[in-house]
Amino acid sequence: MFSDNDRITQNQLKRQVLLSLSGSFLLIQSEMPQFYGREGFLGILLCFPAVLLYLYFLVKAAPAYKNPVKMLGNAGAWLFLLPYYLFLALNGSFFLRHTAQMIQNYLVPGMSLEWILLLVLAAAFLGTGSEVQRRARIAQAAAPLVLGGFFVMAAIAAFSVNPAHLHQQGALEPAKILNSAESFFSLSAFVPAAFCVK
Amino acid sequence: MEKPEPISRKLKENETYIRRRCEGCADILIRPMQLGKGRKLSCLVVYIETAVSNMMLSESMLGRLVNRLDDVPAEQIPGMIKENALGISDVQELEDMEKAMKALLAGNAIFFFDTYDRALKISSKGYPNMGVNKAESEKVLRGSKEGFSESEKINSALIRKRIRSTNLKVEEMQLGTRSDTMVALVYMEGLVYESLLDKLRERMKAWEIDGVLDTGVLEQMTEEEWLSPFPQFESTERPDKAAMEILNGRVAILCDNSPSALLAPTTLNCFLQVSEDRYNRFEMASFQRMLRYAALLLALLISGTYLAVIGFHTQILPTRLLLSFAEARRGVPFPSLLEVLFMELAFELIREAGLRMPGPLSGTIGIVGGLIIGDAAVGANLVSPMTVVIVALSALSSFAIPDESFSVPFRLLKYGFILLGGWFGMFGIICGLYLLLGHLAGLKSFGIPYLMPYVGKGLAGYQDERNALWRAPFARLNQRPVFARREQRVRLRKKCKKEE
Repeated sequence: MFSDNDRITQNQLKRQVLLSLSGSFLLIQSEMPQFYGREGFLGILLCFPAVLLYLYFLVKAAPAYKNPVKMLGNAGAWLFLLPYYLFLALNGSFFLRHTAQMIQNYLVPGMSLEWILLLVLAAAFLGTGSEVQRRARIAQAAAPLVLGGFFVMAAIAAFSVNPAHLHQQGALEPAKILNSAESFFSLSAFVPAAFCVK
Repeated sequence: MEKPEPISRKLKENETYIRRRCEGCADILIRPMQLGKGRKLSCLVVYIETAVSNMMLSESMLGRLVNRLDDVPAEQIPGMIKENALGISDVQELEDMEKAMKALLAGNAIFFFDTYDRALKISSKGYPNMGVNKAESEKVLRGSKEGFSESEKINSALIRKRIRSTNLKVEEMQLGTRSDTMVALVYMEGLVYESLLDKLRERMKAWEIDGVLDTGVLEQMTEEEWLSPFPQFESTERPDKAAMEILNGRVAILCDNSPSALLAPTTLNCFLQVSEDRYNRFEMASFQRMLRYAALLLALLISGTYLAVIGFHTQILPTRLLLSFAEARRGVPFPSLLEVLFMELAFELIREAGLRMPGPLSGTIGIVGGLIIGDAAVGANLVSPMTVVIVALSALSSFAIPDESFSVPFRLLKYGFILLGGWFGMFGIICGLYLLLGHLAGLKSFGIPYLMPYVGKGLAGYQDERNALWRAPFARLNQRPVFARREQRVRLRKKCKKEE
């Protein structure tokens, strides 16, 4: 019924990608000094077109790997998918632990990490579910709130910057910029893959 | 312009035409009869059942007319009625079927005679307004004050009074093996998705039940996600709201002995709209709509957030406010979580007692419960004044949600958020919100995502977001919402000069 209302729209997909990219970036950036300062910011800016190009390539190449079993046979598909699933699992557990630690440090100090992990996992598992459309709808509804909140915080932070500090900076270091760009690309690379391969 | 269908001299042809136009309109009665001396003249009387009431009783005007015609020779009957020889106040000759249908839908009886190419309109009292109740649970300042009654027939007539079209179909069925309750699906043919009707019929007939005594039974029988606390049908006591939603491509379900109609499909946004929103200017309607959304969030979150802030995140409060909170809590022996839970439950008790008490006493309960007990509890240091303020704000917000059945899940989930906020602080509240969002994102009402239009941006051509968190100016609400068929999307357009 109402099949036309039941698909994932471009808008939903865009917001899902945006949330995944920005979410993982915001979570990890405090741990990665590569993203700090002017070099970090310039590196991200420099890398952004490359990430977009990579995304474009993945979307265009989607038919080739949408059904790996058909393309590569059973064994081939396993070989193709196993590293990817391992990568996802490792990444997932890293993000989970990192999130729990941040919550423990900043939101509920003193609470056991296991309890926090359990609650995050339960919320992620029960809230997100396995239905693709449901995830897309969550992304569409949540994106303006999450990103809006982030931009409001960024705007407030901008007002507390002391301009005097900006004049005390030394010359730009190209190696640091490249390091930041490379780290940003590596960080972004796995996110679009999550939408392209089932 | 299309030429109107003429009235035929052959009664059979007229009857076929009328039956085709009124197909699926169970509230329109088509009665062939034989009148005149020796019952020689075939005629047909068409009328809306409730609008032309007591038609055949001898004391009614139309009943007397039919009885008197028994002694009149057949060939004289049309002339007699036309010349008003029977003393009926308003008899009018109608030249074509279009006029006849319009007069019928306005609540009059229409007579057709064999060999006579005109129809006669005989005025009646029109649509019912006697015995019609006021909509007590959906009060508005502007707009109709009429509410549904407890008869399915009268309720369908109240909708037809507002939508005078033969495309408005009233599909009746009897449910309940022992109660044989009359249930009607009311919808606009051409606007509503056929698949929605099929699904409704299928679900209604999928159960065998001894008695259907209210629409609430139907609602629980036919909803998809029966474990979800969120209602998947909207219910209304207002015929104008039901009519408006039928024009939006939704289906109204009426049930005998129930003063409310169910509307399907439904979305979260529908529950926060009232019929007055369409009658007021967009500035005020938008402001009120945003207030309702804010009330929804407050009803759900304020108690839990209060606990999270005073328990875990005191650093976000200005020092003076923090000190005033601490001062207010001095001497209270209970932890704040227990304090809030106690006050929330006490308020639910007052609400329940107020509801069950006879009318004049319910106000007293509110005053005694809210003011006297609240004041005494603060005086005895059982609760802090801040908790009373928070709980009162939460209760007030829950009353601002227009639909009672929709405010219930928020009232229940509030306790979950109180526990999460009290135990895990803002982290718990965020987890709870994510779970709630996930649940709502997965919920559908007859295939329509519950969070439409907030998850429907980008769906080809729909403009539902213009009537969501805010309401666009009336002239810009020119498309029907997602419920209506795609090809029937336009509902408002400016006429060009030629058409005028």
